[in-house]
Amino acid sequence: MGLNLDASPEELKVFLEEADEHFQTLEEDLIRLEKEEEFNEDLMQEIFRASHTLKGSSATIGHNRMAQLTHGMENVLDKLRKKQLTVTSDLVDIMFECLDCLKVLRDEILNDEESDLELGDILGKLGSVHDAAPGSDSPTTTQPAPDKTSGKQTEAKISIDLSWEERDTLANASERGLKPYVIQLLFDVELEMLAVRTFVTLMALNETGEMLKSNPSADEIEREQVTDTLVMLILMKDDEAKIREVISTLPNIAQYEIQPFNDNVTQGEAPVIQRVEKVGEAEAECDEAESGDRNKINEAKNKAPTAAKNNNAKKANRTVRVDVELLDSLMNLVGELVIDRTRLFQILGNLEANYEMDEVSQDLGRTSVHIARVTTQLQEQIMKARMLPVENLFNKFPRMVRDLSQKAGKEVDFVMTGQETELDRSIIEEIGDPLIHLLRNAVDHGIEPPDQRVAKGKPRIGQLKLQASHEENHIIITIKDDGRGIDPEVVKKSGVKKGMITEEQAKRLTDKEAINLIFMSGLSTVAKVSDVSGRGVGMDVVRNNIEKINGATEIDSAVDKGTEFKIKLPLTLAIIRALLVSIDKSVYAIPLSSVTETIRMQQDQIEYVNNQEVIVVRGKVLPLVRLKKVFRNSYDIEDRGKLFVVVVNLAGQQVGLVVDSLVGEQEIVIKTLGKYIGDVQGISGATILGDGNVALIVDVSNLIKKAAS
Amino acid sequence: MAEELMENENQYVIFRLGRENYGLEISTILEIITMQTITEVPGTEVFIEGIINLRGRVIPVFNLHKKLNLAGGETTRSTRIVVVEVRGNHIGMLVDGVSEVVKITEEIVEQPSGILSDLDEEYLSGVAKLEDKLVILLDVTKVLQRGNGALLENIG
Repeated sequence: MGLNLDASPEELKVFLEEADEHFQTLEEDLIRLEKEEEFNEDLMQEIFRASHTLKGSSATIGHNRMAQLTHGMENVLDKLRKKQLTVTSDLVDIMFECLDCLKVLRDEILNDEESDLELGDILGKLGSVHDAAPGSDSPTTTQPAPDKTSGKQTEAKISIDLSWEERDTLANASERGLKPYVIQLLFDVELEMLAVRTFVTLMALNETGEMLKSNPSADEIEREQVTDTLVMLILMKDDEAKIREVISTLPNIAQYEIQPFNDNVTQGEAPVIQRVEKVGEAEAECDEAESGDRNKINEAKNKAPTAAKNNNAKKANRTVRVDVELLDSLMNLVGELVIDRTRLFQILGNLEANYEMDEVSQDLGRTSVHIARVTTQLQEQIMKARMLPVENLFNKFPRMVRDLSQKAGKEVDFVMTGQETELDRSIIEEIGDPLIHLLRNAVDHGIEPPDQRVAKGKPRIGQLKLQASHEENHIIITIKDDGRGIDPEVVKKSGVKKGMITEEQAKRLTDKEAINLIFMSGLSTVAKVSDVSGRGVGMDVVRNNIEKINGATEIDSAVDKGTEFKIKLPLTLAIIRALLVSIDKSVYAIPLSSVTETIRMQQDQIEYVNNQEVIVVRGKVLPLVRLKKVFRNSYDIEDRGKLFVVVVNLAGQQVGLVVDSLVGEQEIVIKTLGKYIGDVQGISGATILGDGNVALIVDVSNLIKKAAS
Repeated sequence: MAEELMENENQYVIFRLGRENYGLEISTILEIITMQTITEVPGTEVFIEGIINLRGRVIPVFNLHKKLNLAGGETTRSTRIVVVEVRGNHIGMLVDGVSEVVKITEEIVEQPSGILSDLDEEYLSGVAKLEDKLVILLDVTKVLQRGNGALLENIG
């Protein structure tokens, strides 16, 4: 079923963008609100404003259900703002639930289809907050008149703008013995044919006196420009009881309010407000942003860097929206330039080697150098254009950590830093899940319940830090908790139990090596132990995902001190530095990020452990993997006396890759093998070399895993 | 090529594989290039020859000889790589030589029923009888699909 919204596609687009911003504001602020012990009025105002704006704009586009929900939220927020309610985590829970519902409602617009979300439940919850609130007004009683001299209005005043002419009429009204009343009606939003009902209502009330003005006007109503509210200014002889009498005969009115009218010009004079609500309807009106508290809001607006302001600042930036596909294709083109740059130098080298250099070839050399420089700059700039601050990803974490810790009964102080750090958008897409996993682990298993922490002499509230920073050509993301940490002995024991390592091996493992065992895929099922050891299932998946994008994970943990994960990520996925090696006259590329060193050694330095070739490097035993055997399936290992070993390291595991010779180090552009070939064991992709030939990129993590098994 | 195509006429590129002539509908072919250095990819099926660099794009090369179980297939001066597009993927196919482009009307195409013994008929869309020779019309999608249907599913 379509939504039948009352807005053009452009208007909807603007609405959606704004809505997302308000959602973000609400999410961030609600978390802050819960954290802060003192009542923060500015913060409260910001939250209220976001919800209020959402209500207004959703009503404008005709998204009635969204308007209804935001209306309910606003009522509760209004009570909070007036300190008639206190902030509890239950209440924040409900607000978050509202937020989730709002997102579903927002998606309705995207899909142009009504979801099966039922608002009854959440509206009920909002209502119950209301009722249960200490000090909240009983809905059926009359509100005591506020102190007229205070000047500060505490109750909503219905506002209606008047033209000068209308003011004149109003001024003359008293001479004619007429009293002005302003009436605000709220219709049942689920109502169909709202315009017709509005019109009927308007006509009915018109009978009671002289209708000076209505919002929407009769004209607007005829053009079906209606919302769920109708405001009217009526001049009448009788008192408001007459109006109430008429209203009681009208169906479909959710609630209404009648106030003797005071012109806005004389603002500050609080009117005597009479509040009447239908029994069972526990909702309060609060269109306050429009009237009494406007000054205060303006003040707050000036003080706090609000979402709206940020928005303006963003718009002021001179930016152009670009399709991601365009960026991808630009990156591909630059990649080809990078290949040609390498090729140019190779050609130049050949020229120099084979011919005498004359003026022309020197000229070519100079131009090549220039092209190389421009290419490098171009590469950097395009890479920059693809960057996004990690903020976009981090934003959703505070809420997640909050919900998790609440569910687990933990108290966690979650701090994020370095949100402005920029990463290639494709990398940001890839690291979301691993980060969620690690954070979840930290809350679930790392940080102890408050009582345990106190017993251990630690602060009751656990610390969880998420930090992003730039380091040389890498981005480092660290996740650090001060929880119970990982006990290497426990990990060792479970490793032995599961047959991952022998008892002998376990004894020789350093603590760090033992902790790294949690990344092993076999151990991950084992890692159900991790309820004991402190870490959850699926750590191998985390590491795999990160290695897939040429990243690396490191872990550091001490019992009862906490655990720190360090994730090292490349700035971009498309171009990396690699060591080129040759195997059987073919060239292979090994990502430099995983290479620790290259060693030239004699054949007779190879030793055997369990029939497996190993070498000893500075007292450390490294298993050897002969790439020729892996890739060429050739067993005729010629004994040439010496061999080249490339030592690769991933997550603390080291393996020596035996190659025929080293070719050099080079920046390479990663290309996939294509869907037709699909996944190939030990190969992560291909690249084009300076001579135009294709080289395969070695999948180091895959080889290490193979060597380990 | 100035002549208009008749309604039931199609243009085919004729190439040799061993002693036989094969035809591919011209619309499936992107280009025909000379032999390139092919980088072998370990661990793939025998009929995947490897990958090549096609103007900065890495594309797989397929060995039709091995796929169709034909004799020969040694690289000669006339060996060509026919680059086709299948569901958005560019794939090269090794052939022994490309001879001509001909127009073939539907009337002279016969369904491949039992004419050919040593060739899996599922890859064919028919056999065209030209004046001087028989041309086996290949169905690219089927050739690339069969035996490794999973691969092509990935492509989808």
